[in-house]
Amino acid sequence: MNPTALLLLFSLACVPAAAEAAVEPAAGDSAIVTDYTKGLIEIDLSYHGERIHFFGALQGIEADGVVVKLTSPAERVKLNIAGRVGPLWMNVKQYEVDNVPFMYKIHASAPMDTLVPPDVARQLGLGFETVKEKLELHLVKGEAAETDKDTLFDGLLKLKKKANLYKIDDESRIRIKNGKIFQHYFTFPSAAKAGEYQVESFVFKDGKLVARAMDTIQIRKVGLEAFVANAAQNHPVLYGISAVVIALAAGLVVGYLFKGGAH
Amino acid sequence: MFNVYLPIADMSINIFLVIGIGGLVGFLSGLFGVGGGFLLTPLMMMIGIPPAVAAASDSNQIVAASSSGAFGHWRLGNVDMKMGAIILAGGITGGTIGVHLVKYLRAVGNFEFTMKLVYVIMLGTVGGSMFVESLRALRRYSPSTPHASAPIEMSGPRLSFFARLPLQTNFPKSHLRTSAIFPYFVGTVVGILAALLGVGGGFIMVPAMIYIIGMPTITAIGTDLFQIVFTSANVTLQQAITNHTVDIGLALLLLMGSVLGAQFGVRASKKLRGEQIRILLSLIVLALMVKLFLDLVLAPDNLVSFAKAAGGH
Repeated sequence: MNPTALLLLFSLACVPAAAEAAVEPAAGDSAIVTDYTKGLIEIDLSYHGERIHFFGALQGIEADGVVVKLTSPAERVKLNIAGRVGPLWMNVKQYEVDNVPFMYKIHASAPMDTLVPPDVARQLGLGFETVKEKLELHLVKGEAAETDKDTLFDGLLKLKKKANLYKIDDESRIRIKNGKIFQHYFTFPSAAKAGEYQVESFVFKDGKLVARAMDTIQIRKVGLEAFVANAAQNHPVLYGISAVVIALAAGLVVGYLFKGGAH
Repeated sequence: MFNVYLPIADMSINIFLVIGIGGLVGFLSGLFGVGGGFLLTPLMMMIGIPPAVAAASDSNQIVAASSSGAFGHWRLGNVDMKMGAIILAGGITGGTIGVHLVKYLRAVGNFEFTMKLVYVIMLGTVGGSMFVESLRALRRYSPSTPHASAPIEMSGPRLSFFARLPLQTNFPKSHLRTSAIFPYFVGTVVGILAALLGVGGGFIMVPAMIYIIGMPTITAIGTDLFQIVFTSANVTLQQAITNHTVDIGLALLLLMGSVLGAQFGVRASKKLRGEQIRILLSLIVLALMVKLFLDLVLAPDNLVSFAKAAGGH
């Protein structure tokens, strides 16, 4: 755990006087102070996802609850839709879909509909419906049907939820202590890829947004992972030759060791 | 805990699961004396490796797994270099066509479908005929002759058709004269399959060389291994360049497992009779075929899937 975060947590929760100093004077109704245990996740050989704790100070702010949204920049994905062709199932349609956040998670201290009115939710992009609304579909192959957007979004949601990349958890996922500090953690699953992730914290009072904050988490490949991925993508000829040479060498060495039992 | 992140597949996977699958296939290949690539790719897909990465990394693993065998046969003089070169020319043509076919199929979103369909046809044909033949062999031999492990009826119908094809060539090593067209053609077909399915293709190549071309068995096996090394090397290189789907880490883990598994497989094979072994292999092949067939005919639980799930961001 990052020492700053620990200090913040400690000072805000236990020593109100010290907490006063930690809160930015200009916070008021526009900004809150937040912190996290880690700002950089490194994908190395042993990477299989990671958990980051987030903290926020509500000192001096009247709040009903907190909603936090984790997203990564929207990207374009290609999606197939399967259909029956004779007795077989194959992909019969393909769409290019724009504005798909790679990751989309929401945590809240109370059910979202009790904290945020629909119009505010839409404005702030809170809820799966707002993700769906922003999707832009371009048909690449097959015949379009009116239900395609629903089919695509339901399917996308299933795929993303299965990989733990999309999730809404508003069953008191965020704990608010003494009305002064909130705390929760996001799980970045093993499917989380390199990139920049935004964590936006929103504080609501009487259905109005009273304060917000934004943090950024980086994920990047490091060491051998970065080297191999980069080589494969940017120097494919060299990478391919190396893969063949390494395999030949490994095969011959292993074959020599085991006296021909390899194939 | 024991997870390893695969840089090209872009996923974290249990290291023992991968080594275990390599080990299982290695065991079977040691037991049955087959390459096992046709078992490896479907099994990798079952544990969640994207199909294109599974096939390409499998080709990479085959380079390693067949290199020492090929080297050994070459030193023993079991490789018909002239025949091998002609088949290899076909293998390189086919492999290159195959890799671009993979690229096209991935772009239109039906690579996985095509791959499974070809697997079903191929595994069904190979497994089915093997099953029928070994069942017949089991019935023919009474239990009192337990050492009937040699394959039956070595001389297949040598079609006079091949004698009339152009490009008649002498193959002194194999003691035969035949057209170069057919070996080139078989090489091309196997090359396409190597790229599409991530297989070595020995199960097609060896019977074709023995029964259709008419090569001696040991020369056929040696020459097959020789062409597999280079055909798979070409497919690996082309996949890396065209589709960015070769995961060297995955290939090395699989190699590690398969080498260990093969040791036990060879030992186990000495305790079983030839027909028993072949009937067992045919049942495994048929079971895999049924699983892939069901994937094709049962409604998927999610109609939507990502096109190009891995390799490139």
